[in-house]
Amino acid sequence: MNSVTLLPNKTLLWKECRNGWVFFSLLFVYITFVSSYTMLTELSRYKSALADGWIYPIMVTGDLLAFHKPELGLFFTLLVVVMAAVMIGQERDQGTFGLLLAMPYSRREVLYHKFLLGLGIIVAAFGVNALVMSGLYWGHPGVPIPFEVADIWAWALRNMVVLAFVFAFTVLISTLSGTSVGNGILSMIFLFFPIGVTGLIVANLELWQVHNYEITANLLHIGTLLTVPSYIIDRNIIHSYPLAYMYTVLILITLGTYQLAQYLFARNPMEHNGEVLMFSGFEWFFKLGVAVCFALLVVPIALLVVPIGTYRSGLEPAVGVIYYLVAGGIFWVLVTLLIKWRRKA
Amino acid sequence: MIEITDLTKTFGASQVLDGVSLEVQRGRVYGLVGPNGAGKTTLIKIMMGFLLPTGGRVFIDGQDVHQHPRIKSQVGYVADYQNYYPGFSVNDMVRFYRGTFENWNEERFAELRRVFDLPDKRTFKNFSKGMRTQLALLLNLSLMPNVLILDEPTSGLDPVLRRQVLGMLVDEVARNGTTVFVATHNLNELERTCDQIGMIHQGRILFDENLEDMKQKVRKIQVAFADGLPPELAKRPDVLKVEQQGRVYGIVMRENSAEMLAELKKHDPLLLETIDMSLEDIFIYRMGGLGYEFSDIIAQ
Repeated sequence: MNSVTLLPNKTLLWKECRNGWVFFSLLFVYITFVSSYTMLTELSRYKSALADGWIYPIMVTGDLLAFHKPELGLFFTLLVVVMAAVMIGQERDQGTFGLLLAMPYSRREVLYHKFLLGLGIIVAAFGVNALVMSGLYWGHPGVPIPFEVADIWAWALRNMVVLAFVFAFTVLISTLSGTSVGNGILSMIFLFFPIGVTGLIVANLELWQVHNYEITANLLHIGTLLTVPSYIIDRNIIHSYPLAYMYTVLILITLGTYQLAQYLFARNPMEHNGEVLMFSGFEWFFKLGVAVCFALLVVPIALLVVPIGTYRSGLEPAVGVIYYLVAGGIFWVLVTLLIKWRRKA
Repeated sequence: MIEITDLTKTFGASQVLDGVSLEVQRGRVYGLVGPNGAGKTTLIKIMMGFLLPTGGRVFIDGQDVHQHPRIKSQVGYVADYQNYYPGFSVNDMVRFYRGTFENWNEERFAELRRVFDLPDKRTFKNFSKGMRTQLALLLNLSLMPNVLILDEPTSGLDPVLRRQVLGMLVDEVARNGTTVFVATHNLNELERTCDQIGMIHQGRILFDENLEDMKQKVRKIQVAFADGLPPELAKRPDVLKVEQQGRVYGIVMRENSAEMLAELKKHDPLLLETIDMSLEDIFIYRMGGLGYEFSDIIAQ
């Protein structure tokens, strides 16, 4: 793609806006509600508490203003996953990819405009709200607000960068999956996969009595670091590294993820619209993932039911390996049957 | 001009297209006939660049459709079941097409708008199948295409509108020299509009011929004799079939019937005339010669 084709096509961009304006508006309104509006109401309560003579008005409003709350970060992630999943999955569900790709647009252009609009909405939503919130901050001189304007912009920037990655990642998954629901669920699974699988590994290490605080702490640290959405849930993760370095890495990973999505989309035969997986060549990877994860989840539970040796006094490693292989095998077969059943249906 | 070379498509283990090759010259109307599941829609989806072929290539005006999607700015496409954005109105779709196709013609649009009575503001999700087809025709004829690809273009239309649409297609070719590729199972429509006809069955083109040549290759002679048809004439190798109704015989002939006519005249017939065969009749004999039963392919 050269610099000329990087310029957006107005018609295609208009089509994207027109087709998804309801969802985009909801997203924008929600972000405004949890940031600007919440800040406004919290400031009012804060001022009222001060006027009422509260010595510690922060006790009225809470320790942090609402837009710093971790669960909101999780919800932002979910909303952006849904936005990307819908932007692409909707075209499949409506059957309009057939229309779009019969027009003089390349697959690259089609995906590029979706990516561009998604990023635009994320940047605009947080940018506008950061501006409004800065205005609110400056509009309340003398009120001892427990954060600075710089914190607002740091919050907005962190959300933009992290959610841009979440968006690009969901677009990537959307090139593999043939349904909106499949896009969304697979994206959430893979986005939180590093911390999830780390938790499973740690649980299994505990089961096998590998008590090493350093190993466990390092594993959990790596797992958390690889779970990008956690950066907006717990800002300390990203703030424990040089921010410029972290943002550069994140932006490069986002662009790389987008390029991979373009590569796969150009090669998508579009034959399995309506199926969770569109590339049958990748099925083994998904089956393996399910088999390994479920083996790690189920074996500790099974060992509680049918213990090998005496619990805590020493498990039989050889028998344990068989447990993992059997559990993995069962889930491999189950997923295979599920895919076949879905395909027949 | 459309050129398809050795196109194959497999879905898993199933071969949907098997070495399809055909060529449609500029300003010609090509009719592709075949039963449901023969591969017509798959072929069209590959021609339009939506599906990727397993093998082979599709060229429109000399450019590979999959390598150069811009060539599709010259191509109009009416699908069997038109999917537009459910929340879009006619006006929205017109805006989308107008911005996408550089040859969009406002005069043509206004002219066609008078023919197709569609509500401007009703959203597409509330359109009937016939209205969807009308909108597709309105949009795709307004973009002044060099090539028009149609998949069952008259399905869902009432007989009056169907006739009108067919007339429009003929008019389109006459006025603009548009190349038309139309897939259908309605032979009567093809007979009125096509120059060239291809038959697809189980992903393979069984034959692909000029309609006039096809008509020339199979002729029907109606003849009546006082003492019946001389047996030696009925046994000629170029006679495909003899039908009898009283003293009148219908003789279906392969290739040149002039020699047969001369032979028949020698036996002083009471009636002798060459009659035009319908496309359906021609297909029956044409496919019989290829070892297929017409009813197995068309009447499904």
